[in-house]
Amino acid sequence: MHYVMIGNSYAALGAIEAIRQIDKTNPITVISDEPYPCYGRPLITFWLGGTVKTEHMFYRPDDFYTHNQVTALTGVRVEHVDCEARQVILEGGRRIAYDRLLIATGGKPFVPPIAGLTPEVKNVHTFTRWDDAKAMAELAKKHRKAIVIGGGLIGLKASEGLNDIGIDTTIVELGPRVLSLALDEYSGRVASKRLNDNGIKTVTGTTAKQILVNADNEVSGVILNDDRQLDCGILVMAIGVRPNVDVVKDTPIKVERGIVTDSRMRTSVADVYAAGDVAQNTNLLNGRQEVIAIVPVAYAQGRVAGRNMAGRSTEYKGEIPMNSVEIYGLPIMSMGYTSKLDDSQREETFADGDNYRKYVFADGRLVGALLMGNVDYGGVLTHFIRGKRHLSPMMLDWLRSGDTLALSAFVIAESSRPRPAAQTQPA
Amino acid sequence: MGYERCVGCWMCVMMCPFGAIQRIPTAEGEHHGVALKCDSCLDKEIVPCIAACKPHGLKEVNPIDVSSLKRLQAAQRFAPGGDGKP
Repeated sequence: MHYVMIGNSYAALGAIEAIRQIDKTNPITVISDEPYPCYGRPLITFWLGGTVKTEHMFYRPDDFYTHNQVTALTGVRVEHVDCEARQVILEGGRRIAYDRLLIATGGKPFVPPIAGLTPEVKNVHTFTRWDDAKAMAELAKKHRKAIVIGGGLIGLKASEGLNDIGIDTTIVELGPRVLSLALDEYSGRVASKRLNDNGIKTVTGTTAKQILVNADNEVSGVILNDDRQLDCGILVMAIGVRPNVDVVKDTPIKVERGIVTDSRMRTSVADVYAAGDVAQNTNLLNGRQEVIAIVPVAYAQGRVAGRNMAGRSTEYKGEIPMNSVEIYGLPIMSMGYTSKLDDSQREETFADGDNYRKYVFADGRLVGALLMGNVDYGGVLTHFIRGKRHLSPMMLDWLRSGDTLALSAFVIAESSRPRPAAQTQPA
Repeated sequence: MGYERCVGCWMCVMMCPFGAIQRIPTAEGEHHGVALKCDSCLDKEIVPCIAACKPHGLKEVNPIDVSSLKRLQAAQRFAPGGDGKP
């Protein structure tokens, strides 16, 4: 039995750890095109900004791979999966046979076509890998100005890292505000102000229609849709990320939004599993099959995949979309719907300076929340939304008044009631 | 809890159904690090806050190991070259 993982981030790590709890001996090979042991991907911002040192990028001990008897092939690209031969084909043609395969290739930045933007233009980067942050740190020695196209989470995080090392940074966002998928007018204004107060400029409602280069083919600026011209020496493309399904192209492995997986994280091909940002699974909010690209989901799916790969039938029940980020001391947390879908849903908002709360209700249930400032009870709301639990008038009062202690106490009391004995899973 | 590893993303707060994780305010009024008062979801195979922790600041530990580590650290402070000033 040979376990092979393509990818070496949270999902693959979860699978390795789950397998080794069950199967201590059979070989595991993990293959990654990045030349590092597993590192905290979301930390690349902090590494660039200087607040996280290199040794703290690694979230497992140095002997993790040897201790777990894992062969790590790092800095090696997988070209293709041959499902019929049950082999993974590496660049250069080497083939590695698998008995159980996990595809955990994560996401891949999406760069739309823009006039003047060719692969030959220098100093243009995406921002999802440590090497991207390293490239920025290098560019920052020579250049003083950066433009970040896209005001989503990755754009914000890239901006924060660049700003923290003294680069004059401007975010250009097509939507009406930063984090436009999650934030509304009020919270968007608070977030923008927080960015601006800390030195990051924001330009919203427009995007780059042309990329400008100098005589050395280095990026020198952009022309916006409204014909304004902004100068820069560094350009970051942060429009979005899509599941990185390159290795399963032309295979029978079914792909929709991401790689299709069932409740055991199996793909449509026997003995091939997928987990993390590359996989779609159940969105508990709407019942649809979607990609929820966050660390906790990647790790949890990896664990479930690993248990099933090692022969212990274990179910993944799905998750609600959610995210959490802090920008310059301002925590922002969203779970479920962040604005009402239609008139069958109802919003309630509570604004007090930089503290903002928004709840979305449907049929007497909480279906979404946005918290800014005080986020300390966010997990309780996640629990309510995920559980589709009916809210009593008392619970609604607690929500409205922000009585976080009462809400927490309620959940604790409820969970400590005796429950029927857990059913044992068939091995 | 490795406080020096916490970057303040609050993913653990988002995943804790009990509201048992609180942000710790610093003297400057900013929040840094998290406080835990919990039984670590004993019935769960995957502990949600630990699964959510990006830099591995949160990890499952054995109380005996932690206790001996703390005692070792305390002893080292008073060892020659330590910064303890009894």
